[in-house]
Amino acid sequence: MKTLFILVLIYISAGFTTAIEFKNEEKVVLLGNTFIERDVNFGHIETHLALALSDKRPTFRNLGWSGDTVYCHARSYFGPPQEGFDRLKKHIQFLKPTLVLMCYGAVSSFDGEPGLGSFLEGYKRLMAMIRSNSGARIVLVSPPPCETLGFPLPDMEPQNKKLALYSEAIKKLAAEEDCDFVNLFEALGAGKKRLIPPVTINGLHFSEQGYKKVAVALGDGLKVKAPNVDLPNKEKLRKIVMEKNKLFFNRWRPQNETYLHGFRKHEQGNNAKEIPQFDPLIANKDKNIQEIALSLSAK
Amino acid sequence: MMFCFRVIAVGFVVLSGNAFAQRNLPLDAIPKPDPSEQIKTFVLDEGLEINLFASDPMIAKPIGMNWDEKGRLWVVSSRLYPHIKPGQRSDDKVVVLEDLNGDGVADKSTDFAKDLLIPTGIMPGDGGVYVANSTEILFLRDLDGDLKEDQRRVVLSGFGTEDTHHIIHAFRGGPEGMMYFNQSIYIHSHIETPHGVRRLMAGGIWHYRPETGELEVFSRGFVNSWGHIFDRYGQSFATDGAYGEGINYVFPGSVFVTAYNAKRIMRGLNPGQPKHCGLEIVNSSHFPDEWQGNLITNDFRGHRVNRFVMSESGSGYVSRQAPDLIRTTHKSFRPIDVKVGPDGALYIADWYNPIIQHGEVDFRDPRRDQVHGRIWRITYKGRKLSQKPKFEDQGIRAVVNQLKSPDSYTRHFAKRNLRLRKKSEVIRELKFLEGSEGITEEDRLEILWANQAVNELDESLLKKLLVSKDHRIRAAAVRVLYHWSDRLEDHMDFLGQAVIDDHPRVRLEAVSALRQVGTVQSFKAILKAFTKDIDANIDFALWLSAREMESIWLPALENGAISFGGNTSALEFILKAAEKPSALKLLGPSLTSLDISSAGFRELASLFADIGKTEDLDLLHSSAFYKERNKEDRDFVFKELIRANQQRQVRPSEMRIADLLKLLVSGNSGVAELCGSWKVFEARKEIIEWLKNDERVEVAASSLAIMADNESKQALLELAEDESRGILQRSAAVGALTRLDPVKTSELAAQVLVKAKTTQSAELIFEAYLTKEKSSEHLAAALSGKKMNAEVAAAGVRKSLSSGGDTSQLVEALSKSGSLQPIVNGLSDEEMKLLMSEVQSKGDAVRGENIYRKNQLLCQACHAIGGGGGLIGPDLVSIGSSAPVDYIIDSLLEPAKKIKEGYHTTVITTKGGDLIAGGLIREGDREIILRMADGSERKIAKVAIEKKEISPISLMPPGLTASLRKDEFIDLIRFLSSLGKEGKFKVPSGRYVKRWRVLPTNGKAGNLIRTKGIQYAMNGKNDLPWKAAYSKVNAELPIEEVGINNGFNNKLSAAKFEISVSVSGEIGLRIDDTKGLQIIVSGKMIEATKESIFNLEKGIHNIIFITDRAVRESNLKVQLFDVGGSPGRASLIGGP
Repeated sequence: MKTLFILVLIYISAGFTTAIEFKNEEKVVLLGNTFIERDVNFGHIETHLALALSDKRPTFRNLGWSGDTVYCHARSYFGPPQEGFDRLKKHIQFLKPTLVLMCYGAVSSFDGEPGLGSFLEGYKRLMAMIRSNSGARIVLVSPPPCETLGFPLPDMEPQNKKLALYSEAIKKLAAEEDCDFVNLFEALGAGKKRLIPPVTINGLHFSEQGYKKVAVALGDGLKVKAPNVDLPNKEKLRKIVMEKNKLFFNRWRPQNETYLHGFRKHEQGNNAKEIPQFDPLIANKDKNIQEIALSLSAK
Repeated sequence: MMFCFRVIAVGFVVLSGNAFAQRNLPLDAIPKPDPSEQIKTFVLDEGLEINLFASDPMIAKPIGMNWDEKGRLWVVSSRLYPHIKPGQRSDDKVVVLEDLNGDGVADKSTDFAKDLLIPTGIMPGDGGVYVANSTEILFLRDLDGDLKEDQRRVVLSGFGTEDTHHIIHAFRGGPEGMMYFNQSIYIHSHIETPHGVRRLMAGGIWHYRPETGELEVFSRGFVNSWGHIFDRYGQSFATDGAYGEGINYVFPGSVFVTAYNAKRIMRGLNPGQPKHCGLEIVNSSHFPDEWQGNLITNDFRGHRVNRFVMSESGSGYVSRQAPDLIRTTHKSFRPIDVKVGPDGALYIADWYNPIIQHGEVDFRDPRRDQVHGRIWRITYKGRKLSQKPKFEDQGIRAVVNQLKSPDSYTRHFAKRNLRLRKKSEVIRELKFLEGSEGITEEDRLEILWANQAVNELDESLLKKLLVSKDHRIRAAAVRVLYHWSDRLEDHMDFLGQAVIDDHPRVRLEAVSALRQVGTVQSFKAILKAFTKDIDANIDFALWLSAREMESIWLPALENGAISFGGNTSALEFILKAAEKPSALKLLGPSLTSLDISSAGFRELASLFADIGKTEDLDLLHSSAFYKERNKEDRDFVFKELIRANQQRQVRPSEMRIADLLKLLVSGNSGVAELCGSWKVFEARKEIIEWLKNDERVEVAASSLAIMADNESKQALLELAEDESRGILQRSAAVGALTRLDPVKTSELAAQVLVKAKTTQSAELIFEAYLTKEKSSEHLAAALSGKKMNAEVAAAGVRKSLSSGGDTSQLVEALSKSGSLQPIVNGLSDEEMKLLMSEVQSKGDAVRGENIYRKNQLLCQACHAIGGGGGLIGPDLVSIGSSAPVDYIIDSLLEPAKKIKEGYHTTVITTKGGDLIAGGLIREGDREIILRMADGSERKIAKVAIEKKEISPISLMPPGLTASLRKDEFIDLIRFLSSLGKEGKFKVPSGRYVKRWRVLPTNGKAGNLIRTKGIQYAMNGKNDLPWKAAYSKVNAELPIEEVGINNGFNNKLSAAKFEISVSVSGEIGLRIDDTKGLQIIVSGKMIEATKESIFNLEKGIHNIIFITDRAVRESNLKVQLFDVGGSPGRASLIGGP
């Protein structure tokens, strides 16, 4: 009976890994922990997807936050994680995404099996919040594997075992929640074989070259292919993506939040009026990215 | 001039949300930026010389700096601070300065990186440079030797940016090869590492080992700490740029002011100091011997560079201020970092800005400087410069040999250089050096650290140093085990010895290391520390261990794996520290022991009240009735029982009603409140009777309100409506009824209020409405159309504005009823300009100080100037040199407009709907402790809290200066704006007595002195009406502020202060003028001499000065000093 149940699950989840329909003017939000956040500095994921989906004229917003969990531990400032959860809700309401790529589990998996229940519960709650505040479709992305790079860096094998457990659970969650799933853990080798050259700088965090591989793996998982573009043109596009990311970072996660919107806003809150002035600058870059991606794909 | 109503009007502006209006004021008196003009204003300490190393345009706005092993100075600089503008490029820089010809002046400046966003920290090393850039630490590398960034890697990410002058900073290479850096109060960081996620809320110091990816928190707290340094033996010291306790001794796990979730904190070594930025230690052969080991830091508000001399005291240190290196009146001189350079000189980064801060001064204030910056170089006249070390192109042996250098610069960079070399060869060469002739213990320590720097443990050397003759070396060796106990198999053997070492610092290190080991066995070893002397640092480390290792020792205690034998004090300490309800029964005997001190008893009683269950409270309750228990301690128990009932709804099973009633009849007011809280109806009749007694009416009313049955309510109502009683008494009844039903009572409250003629009589009603959630609006409605006494209404407005809740409706109603004429705008720009120029032209700071000291203004009740005075508001020691005049004026008129970080009001709404507003002192996992506006501390259990908010309200009520004439107001501002500037209003360095208790002229005291003699009167057992007094800025206590009591045949004045002796021995007092002066210490009276010396035991001592007023009318000025050759160490007790 149990076997049958599992078989059914596999069948269902396999059923949902068919290509997603991408919409016109898709508003994509990337959400997760350090792994997602650091692509802001490289722009590989966005560049790859911008080229692959150029005819849809998508926009991308990276809401990754180092150390974040499904409970939004890292997004809170002076309050409990709930404050971070509420902050993310505001960001979702503001951005109104149509598609959210979520990648959690890397932080929680350090807790191993005992933390799994709470992780899944939190993930469901987070997904529900995003859906009810944006109506966006959700794609769950499993966390990537770690690498063991040798002494004096730690052996990441035990961590990979935990990640495998979490990835499997996320896959099931995706099926239960009726959403797409990209198995980045498997796609990047599941920690079973050592990649040469390595894709991380310390066993955990991806290098620039690593993110190139991630971008392709993610695109493959979403069943989209980027056209072959010569490197100088691709780099030109990526540069603008990174500029846009910098502008957007100052928009959604400005410094001095204590004074702009926090408990000292009665002192310096007048300066918060500057923050929305980033919007037209970001919109310009979006347009620029879309146009370049489209022209490169047409070649 | 009636400042009063104008001020109230200003309050309206705050509430109507116009508080942001940025003033458009003249760029007053900003000095010319010419460095040759600036240097002329510097006054240097004897023997020092200064020259300009680098200036704009080579360098602008330096924020932090560090040298590299090639003798180049790396600087992070930001023109974007405090906040990037939309459309502005993030183009802040890493600049490298080079002195190519060795003349002490930079010849070349290179922009290494120029696309950064307010970089706040920098440290070259490991073949590149680490840079703090917003949320990340970057590692930038130059691959082709052109001194430009070619490769960028994010090393760590997830640091908070909630405030741009709190972002990670103070990068420091540790003696063992790690890097250390600080973050500040508003920052919340979440960092993923291969070893797991690390989080740090609020301030603290991190350490990081790049090659292993290990990141850990070293110490927590501080408001804004920008200085951290290691001494010759690896001990850490830190300074705080927003908290004034000078040098802080930092040990592993230590926790300081404002740390997140900290029940207990350590204090700095120089309370009452201005705030400091940057920190360096002089270990430089260029400087004379007496400078070695001195700490150099910057009073960036007061435009000074300070020097402190350190000496050992127990496990910790004593820090004494020495003369300033630099002082100046130059408004833009902002020394913020200091580092010893390769030539042994001191280099000082001058941020160069007339405006500091962006919390209180607008982000876009036009007076901000964004283009200038300086690096100054200080040398010692007539002394040779240190030899610049060379590491590049040198063999490993040559580098290793430099570990013996007397210059810390050289030793440090030798170790940094070794990190780039082949590890196996480095280890071999280090072994070789250790075996060579003439090696000292200090050299061996450097060799041990050099091994650590290349991530290697030299076990045999470590074992040697763990038993070194020098306690400083032993302590440093134990620190290695704090980090690496897992690398030494028999670490427990060594730590077990170290924890009972003869020297307290070794024991302190051992406790920390054993806590890291984290096993039952290591906890057992920690317990051995209780067999030795425990000083404040060790006490803290033990307390922390008890709490952090609770999950280890509590089961072990329960299953018998740990036993305490006869050591009940250790058991009590551990159980108290852990605050576990299940442990309380083990503490029962201590609670009922009569050996325990009053303070110890109260601490225990509070713990029982905090966490005790019914049966524990039975024990607490009965402990109050012990025959030998004194009245104060018994009343304390009652208060704590009320708190337990109110906040946690826990009370004893046995109320002992007969005992309570007996005490009640004797007039015990604490019992009345307890009976109210427990609803002991048998007591009601007696308490109702008390309502007729004017002295007891207040406590009776509040007790009946808590009892809250119909009969009690009826009695209160009768009193409230009884027109034959005074307003004060009726207010007590109205206030009590308000707590029960603010809506119903509001009509009655309004009726009583309109009759009130004095502010005091209305106080209880205002209090009741302002401390009950959402009730003030009902009083506002009831007051509609009624006329009130203007003074009473004004007092109500003031109270409302500093109460913490939304009181806008009540403020409006009171203003109408009291016919307070609101002026819609506060001071206009024109008025502000005029006032500022009058402060400049007419203000008199000497008169201003006298106004500041007036009792009715209450300044001293809340603020200290350099340590003496209240703790509710910030210490004003350098307000004049840090804040523009318009800011000071605004702050007096509208206290809520700009609030210093760390002084915001915390407003707690309890589950019962009470509003409690105060300054946050500490927040633990179980309770929050607030400082209330009257200076008292209040503890609120977290279980009783519905909501906690940081409020934009200041605890300082507006209108405190309302009674001043305009000329007095101007003098007061002139005084405040002179504080901290060079001149008469700079607090003198040295440990001068600031906080006094003086005896007023008093019949009872005079009588006692006449009949029994002064010595008897001062024996501490007589209840004398001492009152607080504080020395003036120049450290003199005005003698006329001390009362005169006629003795048998003389006119005497008595003034006393407290000192805390940390190490027993001789303690000295230096007295400016000894005429007519006698001193009583420990019951003995002696004639004062210029240097009076006392042999004192460890503990707190009262020093009483008796002045014969027939022969002396001059002020008292007293300074504490260390007696040469004596181990004795003491500090002054400051505060309110």
